[in-house]
Amino acid sequence: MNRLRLAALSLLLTIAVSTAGAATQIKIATLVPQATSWGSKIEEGRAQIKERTEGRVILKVYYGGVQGNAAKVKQKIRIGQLHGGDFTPTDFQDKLPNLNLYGLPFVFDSVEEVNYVRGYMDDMLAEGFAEQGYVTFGFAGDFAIILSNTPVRGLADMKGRKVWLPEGDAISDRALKKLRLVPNSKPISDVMTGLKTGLFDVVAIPPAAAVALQWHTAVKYYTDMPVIYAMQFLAIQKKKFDKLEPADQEIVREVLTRVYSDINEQAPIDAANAREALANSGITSVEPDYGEFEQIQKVMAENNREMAKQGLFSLELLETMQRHIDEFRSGHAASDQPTAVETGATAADAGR
Amino acid sequence: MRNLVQRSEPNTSFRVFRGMNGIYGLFPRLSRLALINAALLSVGGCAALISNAASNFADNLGAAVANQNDPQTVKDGAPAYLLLLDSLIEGSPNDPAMLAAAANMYASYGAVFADDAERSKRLTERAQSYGFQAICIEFKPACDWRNITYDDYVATLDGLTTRHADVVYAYGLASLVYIRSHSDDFIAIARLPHAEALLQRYLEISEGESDASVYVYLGILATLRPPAFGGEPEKGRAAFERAIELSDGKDLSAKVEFARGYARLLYERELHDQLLNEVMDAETNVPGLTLTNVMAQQDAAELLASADDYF
Repeated sequence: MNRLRLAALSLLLTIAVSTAGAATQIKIATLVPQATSWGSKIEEGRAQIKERTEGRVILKVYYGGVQGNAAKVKQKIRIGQLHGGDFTPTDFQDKLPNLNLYGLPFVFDSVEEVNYVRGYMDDMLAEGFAEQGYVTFGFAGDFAIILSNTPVRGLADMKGRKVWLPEGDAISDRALKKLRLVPNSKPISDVMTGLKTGLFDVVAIPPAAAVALQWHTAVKYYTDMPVIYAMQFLAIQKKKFDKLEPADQEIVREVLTRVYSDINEQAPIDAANAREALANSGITSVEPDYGEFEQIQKVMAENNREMAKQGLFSLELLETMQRHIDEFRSGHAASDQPTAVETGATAADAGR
Repeated sequence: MRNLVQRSEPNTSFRVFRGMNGIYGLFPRLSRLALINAALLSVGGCAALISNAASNFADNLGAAVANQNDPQTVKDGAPAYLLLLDSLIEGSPNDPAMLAAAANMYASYGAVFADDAERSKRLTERAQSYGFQAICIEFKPACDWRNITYDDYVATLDGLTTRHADVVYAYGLASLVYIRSHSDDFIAIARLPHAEALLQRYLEISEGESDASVYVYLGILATLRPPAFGGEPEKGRAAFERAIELSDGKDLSAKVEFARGYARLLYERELHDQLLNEVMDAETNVPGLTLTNVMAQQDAAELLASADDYF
């Protein structure tokens, strides 16, 4: 009997040991430093995943860009050194070009408008990830506005100026060229010095990011126009994710979706606070020439259709997006719209 | 001083933009540990405020605090001195030395000992207010600092000289802790470069006093952003190394901040563990640094314990 008990105990111990050893580590890379609000939210999510899966799933996060840029992270995912990362639509431009739709220049007028459209279209845009071998957990976004060292009221004020183009952003490159502006492509790490040395006169960036990067010390003016909707998302290799037990997959999905939803909700509140910070820092707010910006919107709409026809993204989805924008603007918003980003709209209301 | 209060993760919502389509948060990581030296200085600074008859007492008090190996005792005792300083300022509202000492004391207590976020905000706000009044009295261009652009602000710093060192230190420190406790407010965050520039200027006019702790602050500020966002961690490393050199390696907080700020940012495990193990093996009982070192060892133990998880 004792031998039997011993055998049973031994079996239990074996099971316990093998269960403990079965923890799956998901390694993800991000440019976000750990010591940030975003990093804190990821850390909270990481702790929750570990606790709720009883240690079966460990999210290992490499912060601060130590694993290299997006291209390098994707390469490391391919060879199994990493399993995921946070990305921008530009990073998936070749494989999932439709992700660029929200980020087309001068498409949206407000956070409320983009949230309305996202309520209908987020799922459509996220659809392609599975085919590409990734799982995602929602988008977080914010509007870039114009910061400059000479007042920018409209297009004429940007002519002949040195305009920053984020490295690898082909869509913005096309847009700027269509407007007959001369973009200068550099990585974000070079912009602060570029503004101080005159390499750039005009940049577009979400106001909160501008303050965090201390660009407010290197510019004199800001023009509060929603130039571009800047978006980011987390993508984890599907092959790795599928190895998790279904119940654990559900936990990871739920926790990470909430992390990105929280970040998305906070964005417009931070943006409003950061605009105030810009004004408080002695940076002059420039009143946009709305007539001129309407003209820019028209040119951009034309350009967007041209790009769609050339296959840079889906014309059908572009038209769907435009239809929802028109609905919103005409005040005929469908009452049964999905609610995925409704909280974002509320946050925007509070922040504006 | 992180261990005197419940360890709280930084909560600032700096948001950073990646490319045209990326955003995320970044906030100031101004460690409470780094601020303990300021607490000690401010107690010592009381000597200047109190009559000659009492100055020996104040000097001895400063030394006693610095050599205390039980932080809780300091935490419990300090509020009485905050009130004492308030009362002295009531009597001499335009005394810059007194205002500066009060700024230091409130800044240190608010950042290091206040165990409630709202309380920390209130105390550091008072610190900044005292610091601003002190520097505005001593250096007239400072009265306009809140209404001018960054470039114009920096241009005024050249006018600061050695005689302004104490008020510069007080306002610089008070500004840093104010930003830290208001790190969910971009209006506060936007002043971070101003505080950094002021501390840089302090090093030029200080004649060596308090330089080690200022180098630690500058090290922390330089390691807030990773290189991918234009951060300059090597500048931070140089500042931490200089702080260690200036204290002859005896101020253990410099090594802890070096590990926390630089080694963790760049995932340099070997350096991280080496620095922290040196702290763990070091003698804490150093005249003037005992309290700092006791706290540093506590932080080092925590960082070592979480290292496997981090790296």
